[in-house]
Amino acid sequence: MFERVTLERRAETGALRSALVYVIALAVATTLSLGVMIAAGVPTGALFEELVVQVFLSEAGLARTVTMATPMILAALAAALCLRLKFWNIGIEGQLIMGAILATAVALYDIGGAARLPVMLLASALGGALWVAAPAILKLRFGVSEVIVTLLLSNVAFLFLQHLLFGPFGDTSHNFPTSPVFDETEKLARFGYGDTNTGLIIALVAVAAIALVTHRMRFGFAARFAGDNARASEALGFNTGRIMLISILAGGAMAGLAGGVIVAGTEHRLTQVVGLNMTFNGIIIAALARNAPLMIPIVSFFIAGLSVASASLKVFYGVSEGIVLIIQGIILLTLVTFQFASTYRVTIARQRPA
Amino acid sequence: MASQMTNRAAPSGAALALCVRGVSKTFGDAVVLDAANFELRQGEVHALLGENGAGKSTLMNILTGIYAADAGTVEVDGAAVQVQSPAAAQVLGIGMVHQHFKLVMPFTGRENVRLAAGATATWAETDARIDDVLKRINLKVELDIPVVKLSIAERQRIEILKALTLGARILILDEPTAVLTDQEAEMLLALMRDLAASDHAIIFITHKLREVIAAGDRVSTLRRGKMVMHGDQVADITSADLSTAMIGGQDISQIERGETSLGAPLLQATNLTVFDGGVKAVDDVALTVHQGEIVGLAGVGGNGQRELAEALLGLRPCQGGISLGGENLSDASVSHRRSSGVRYVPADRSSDALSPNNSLADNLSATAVRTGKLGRMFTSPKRITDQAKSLIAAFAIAGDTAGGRRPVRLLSGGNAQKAVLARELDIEARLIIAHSPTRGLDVAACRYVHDRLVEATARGAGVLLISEDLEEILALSDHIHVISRGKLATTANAKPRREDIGALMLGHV
Repeated sequence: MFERVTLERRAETGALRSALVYVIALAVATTLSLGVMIAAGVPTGALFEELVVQVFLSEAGLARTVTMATPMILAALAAALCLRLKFWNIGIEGQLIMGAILATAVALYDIGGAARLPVMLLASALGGALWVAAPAILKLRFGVSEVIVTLLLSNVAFLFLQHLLFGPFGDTSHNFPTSPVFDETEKLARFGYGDTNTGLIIALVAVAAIALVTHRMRFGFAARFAGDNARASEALGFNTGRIMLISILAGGAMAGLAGGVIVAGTEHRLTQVVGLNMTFNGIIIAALARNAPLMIPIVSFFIAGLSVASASLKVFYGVSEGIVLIIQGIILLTLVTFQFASTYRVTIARQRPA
Repeated sequence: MASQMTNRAAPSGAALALCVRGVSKTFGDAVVLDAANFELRQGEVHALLGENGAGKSTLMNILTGIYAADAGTVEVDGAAVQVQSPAAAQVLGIGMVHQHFKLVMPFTGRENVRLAAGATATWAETDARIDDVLKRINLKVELDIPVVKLSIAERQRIEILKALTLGARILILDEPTAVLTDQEAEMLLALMRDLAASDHAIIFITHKLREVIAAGDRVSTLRRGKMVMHGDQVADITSADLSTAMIGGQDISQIERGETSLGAPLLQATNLTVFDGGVKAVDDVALTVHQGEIVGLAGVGGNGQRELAEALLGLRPCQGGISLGGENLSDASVSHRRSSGVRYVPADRSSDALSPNNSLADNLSATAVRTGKLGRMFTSPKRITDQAKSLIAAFAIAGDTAGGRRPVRLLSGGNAQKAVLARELDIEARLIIAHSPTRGLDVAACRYVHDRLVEATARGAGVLLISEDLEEILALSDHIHVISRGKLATTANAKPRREDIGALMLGHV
């Protein structure tokens, strides 16, 4: 029966059509997600309250959402910078952990004197960049799959984190695996709304800077060209290897900075759960934003709202935290499916008279 | 095609192998085929002509089940059929050799044929059929080397073998001679005659008028989706008739270059040796290109042309010396060589020259952006589009480019090649390495490319024209070399006779 069904690539997808497809996909994804939540035991009447009012409209909820969105923006930048050059960085968590570790080390060993905070943030970016350097060089030099190396290095980073928390970085005043709380000079300033802090400004500045480089600077032009066709960019005299390496290292630095912002801005100490789920969050946000830097803060805001809502769903209705991952999966799959449908036309050949 | 093929059967009374009536196809707003009719008799070679974008490929894709027609009927052997998939086409005995090959790159030729045979035959049966086909025809194929390591011409030969092995009775050849040498083309045309004589029906798509006259029984011509010449006997028409039908009365005569005065030596390559995966692809080549000179490099694809071109541009490491106007470039980077005036028009523009998903403007401005001409740190989109617009106008890049904002992948082959030329043939170009610059282009676009290359030499640039199209080499070159197995062969004559070139292309030991 499928013999008469053919797929044809559409010659061109108009901007309006793409936008419409995107909106419809989000609507479908939302409907499916609501269905899943109701099936999981959330009362229908509570959905609006939990998913909209509590996370976006109440002051405390909004503060939690913005706090959660801050490292997500940076993680999504990390994903987007690498994805633009077809480098699948699925070790964002590892880079984030290394960033958090270096920032904590600066704080615990009192490095940098008066410039303590900037040094912490620089160290965190450096940690992330260093952690992605090895997979990047392996990929560019020897063609080793970055998917495997970045993923496995995340595990190495996590084990290293545990080693530090149960050893040299551990807080000796209690038995929980966390570092001691930072000094006041080692914390990012808070705005007075919940845990929101200047980390948000850092993230937004990073977004603006990367958008500027991507769309308005020579380097960004070269990166766009190399990302689409590395061979052609090589033949045009662009230093493709260098462009890729710098972009990937910048991506790692963004992931590391996310770790720095979490420890210095939100947690004020290093914990085991720093960066949890940030790889998936970063990739899904980058995908929804279609790797466009300026779209990332907006998408991050909504994905953060979803994460915050899941926390309260767990407390009040006993719904598993995993539900948020399911919903993110639904959103991503729906969007990818709709994008496919907007790229290809499904035609059913008409029966013609013989 | 020095000699006319004779002993042609006259299949005028033969039964229809294929009959297409009123087939239409639109993509979006573009009407690509407009109620086209086409008849193919058993035992004939039916030439199908048409410019790029005339609808030839679309019609063939409908016949092979890749596209579904919007309207119209198709009959095979007198019975109405629905060609709903390539598999259905295969069952109906319709086989096609596409212009862009459908081969799995890491597989060998043999594996590709086995894969295409699918569940219809065991490997042993397929291998036996391959042997059978190879016994009947003189087709030089490397069956046990991964296709990715073969040249374009070698890949095409695998495609031809594949279609024949799968038992096609109606064989569609989409510009099959575009990448062949004269001798090979002649062999292929003879093979087509043989196949026709054994009751195959052949649709022969080509841009080359002389091939139509040499091998076609009848000819049909598409222009802008309409069949304007409909199964006329080749014997009754002239090449002027054909070109008029095809492009509607434009002047398409081949460019004739008069005597040119040579300037100082520009490119001097000495003892150039290039290794490709441990194999010597270019072997101790010495090459000189003077200012204002077009040096033609003829040869069968895969004899080191690509490696030589890439080594000259600096994309591949090589041994030996390369200098440009006295400046030693042997160890210079690609960007350094480009700053010194080296330009490259590669054989495969979509994979080696253009960024398909970026806009036409970005592609046109890439060099200017890289050199910092449009700003050292920043590049405003406005300056990029302004630069692009002037190039679009200067090189007459046609079609809806939306002011250069449309992605390059939506351009036709001819316009995409114009975009490459517009970028590469700038005022500072001193040495232009053009590899098969007219592959797959129609007559008018070919003429355009040639004019631009000649124009560049008038400014004092030197051109290294690497091509498998002997007509092109003979018409344009001041000096002709032949490359065979990585070695350069030159005759005492700067412009040898075509028979001598052909012999060198194939007979080099």
